[in-house]
Amino acid sequence: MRLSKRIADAILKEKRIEEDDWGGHFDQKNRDYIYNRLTDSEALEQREDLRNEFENSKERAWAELRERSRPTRRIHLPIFIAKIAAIFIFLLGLGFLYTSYMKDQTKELPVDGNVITLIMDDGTVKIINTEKEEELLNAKGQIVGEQEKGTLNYMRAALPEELVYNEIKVPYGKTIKLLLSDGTHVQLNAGTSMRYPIKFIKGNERHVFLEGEAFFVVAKDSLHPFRVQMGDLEVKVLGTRFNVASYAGEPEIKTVLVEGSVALYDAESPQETLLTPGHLATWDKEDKKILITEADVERCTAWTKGGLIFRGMAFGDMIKKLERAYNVSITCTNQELNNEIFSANFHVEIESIEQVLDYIKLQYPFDYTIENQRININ
Amino acid sequence: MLYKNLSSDRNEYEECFNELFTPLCLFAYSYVRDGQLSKDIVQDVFMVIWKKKIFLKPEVVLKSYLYTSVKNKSLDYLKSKYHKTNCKLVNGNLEALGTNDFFLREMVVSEVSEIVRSAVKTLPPKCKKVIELSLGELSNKAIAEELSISLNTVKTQKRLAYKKLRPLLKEHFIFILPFL
Repeated sequence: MRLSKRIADAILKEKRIEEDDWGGHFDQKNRDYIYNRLTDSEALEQREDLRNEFENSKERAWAELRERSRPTRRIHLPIFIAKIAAIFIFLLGLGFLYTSYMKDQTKELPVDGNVITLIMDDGTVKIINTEKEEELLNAKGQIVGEQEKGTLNYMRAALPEELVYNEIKVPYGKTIKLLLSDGTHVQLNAGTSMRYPIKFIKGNERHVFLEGEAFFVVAKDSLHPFRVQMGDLEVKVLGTRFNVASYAGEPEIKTVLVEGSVALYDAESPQETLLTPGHLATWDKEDKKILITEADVERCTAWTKGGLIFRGMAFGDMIKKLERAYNVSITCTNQELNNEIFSANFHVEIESIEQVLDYIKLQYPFDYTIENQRININ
Repeated sequence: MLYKNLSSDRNEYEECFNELFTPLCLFAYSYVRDGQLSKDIVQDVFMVIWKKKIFLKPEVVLKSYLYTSVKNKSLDYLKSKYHKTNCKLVNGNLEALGTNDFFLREMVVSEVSEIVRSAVKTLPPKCKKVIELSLGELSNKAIAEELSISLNTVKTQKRLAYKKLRPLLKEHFIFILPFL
């Protein structure tokens, strides 16, 4: 008989638990402790009360689990001073929030098209060609930054202390890196736009506006907190490195912290929520609540290296990511396929969209046609 | 590389949840000493296996995986800065909680409690009452007084209970500690 069974048997039959029953496990102190916990009437009563409490919440816990196939713990943390050195990922969909923000702040410009565009402070639009090196000049002919090897560098420009914004828009199928004036690195994923000062001003917080997905490595400067604004939600960091992403049309804003810590807060509530490493914060745009769950950090940052990792994701949700990564538009009329769950790893530079679809076809047969980056699945 | 998920595991998952949610909560409680937190931790662990479609076979492996996950999560929480700054560690020092002895001890307590409970639950009402009281270390005499029955009835009920319990203890239960 096994240990637990032997002990249970002895207890039920009011027998002594013999030396043999323990099978050499535990010292006397622990044996006494175990025996006491299982037979002392006060301990039993306590356990029973506690057990009832858990048993009563079981149904609700199950309903909650069912409700989201993603995981969750709701944590309301008190105000917390964000620590230096934070890396995190921010996944965010902006939906109508973004739309209203765009109307207020900038002229409407579609992010699609096949080129990366930069809107200067005077409204002129420049096309960024990552294949070649170039200097970025403003209307006055001053150098505001330079572009080489796919990085836009704002660090070297000598500009007056004046808050001037640039906005960059990355189309589907492309990514770009920025080096902001304070030394902060930002990598923008496909289908993303960001508005940021070409020079951060001393005494002001470093404030940028994002829609889409991005990985941030924030230069440490505790006097000037770095804030990423995404509609009504803001992320504040004092320290070094983090990754952010945000997309329109999604009902939630998602943040994953890789290392360090970060504070989140929305515009209406003064309460900050702390995010700890390895966790995902999902901010529901409608009820404005933050849900903290465990996250696969590697998967969330895989895109910075061209990786596309899907785990237990419905095909319908995969489509959006594939469209962004490969700059295609995918229409799938097969509802059953849209709901089918897949797990897969791809790499944008290794596998073509055709190869990706062919892999998926192996699991769930379907036909597709590709024409001018338009894919139709029947 | 593509591997399709087995979405038919839902029932199996529910069964596993129903069986283990409460014992795992009690187990988590022995670490974190907070009911709400224990539930959160256990729920998190279930969400992870559900989300990642982790299904470990045989059940023994799944059970020890769950217990280990709950332990790790509980310890992570106790080590977190949030906990350290906001709560005093109520349950002795962290080192003792992190030992394998503590883990095994709590697991045994949790498992034995569940075995005893489900075994007792199968007994006829009168029999059950007697055994429940005797588990709280009440003497036969005290039980007789408590239930207003004769001493002999207590003894008869106990014998009947042991007889009924024997086959139950032989089969029916799956154990997390096959190696013990």
